[in-house]
Amino acid sequence: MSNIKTTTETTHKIYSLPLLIGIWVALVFFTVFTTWIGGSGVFVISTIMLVIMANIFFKSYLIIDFFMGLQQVAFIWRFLMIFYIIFVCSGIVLAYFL
Amino acid sequence: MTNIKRKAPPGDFAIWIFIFAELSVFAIFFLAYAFARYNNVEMFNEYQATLDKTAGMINTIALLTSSLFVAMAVHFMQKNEIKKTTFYLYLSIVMGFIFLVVKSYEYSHIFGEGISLSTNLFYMFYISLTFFHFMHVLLGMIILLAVAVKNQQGAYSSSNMAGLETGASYWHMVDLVWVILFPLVYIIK
Repeated sequence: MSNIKTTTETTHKIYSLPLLIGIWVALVFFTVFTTWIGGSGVFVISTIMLVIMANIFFKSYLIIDFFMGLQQVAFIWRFLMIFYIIFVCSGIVLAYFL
Repeated sequence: MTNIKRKAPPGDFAIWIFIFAELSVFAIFFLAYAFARYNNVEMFNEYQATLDKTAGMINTIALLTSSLFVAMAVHFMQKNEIKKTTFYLYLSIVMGFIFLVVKSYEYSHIFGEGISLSTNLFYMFYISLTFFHFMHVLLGMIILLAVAVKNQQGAYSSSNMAGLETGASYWHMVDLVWVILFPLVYIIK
């Protein structure tokens, strides 16, 4: 029996470079969009607030799942991070709409 | 190639305790800012308008790009391509340095106008929140530099990359915090 330890046994699945770059493009797009919508004055403030919160959540999800690689580990880690984002975003929304 | 789902998160377990501790501190800061604003909406909106949103956006892109380079470094390490790993680690440090330069420019501008922590509640939060994050970027760059140097010395391989993943996880946390901080302090009115 071979003693050779393959990388698949010890590390995460290798994300392809096009996938990582595609996620980066999405993150940059949403960053520019956030800045634009914040200064546009086109929408009412409550709409801007909710769009930006959704934006924060989606960007955080991409970072957590793909850059951090938590998509590939036990669910509890991903849950803790997503719970953190939901907790913070909910608190901010609550403070703004009180 | 089969992919076996790993239970533990990337890097040392201890770094995740540290990451959650740091995230908790930032969460308290974020909520304190949001609720302080609730009682001073007009003042917060007035002084928020003085911030340089373009600089904030550039810094966000710099950190996101840096995170991409770190993810690419991990990608190449998984393929045992040591030189490419080192290259992308150094590139990520350069992007972190760009963040520090832009942030220092912003600080020099506001400090040059005589603004300080005691000017008003908005600037107290702005300076303390962003400077706390600034220090995390600095620490993250030192960690990445240490990882890059060790990698050059052959310390890591595809079957032994916990050190690299530990540094990468910390850096992604720094990025994640800024993704919340930027819209909260610079954008949301």
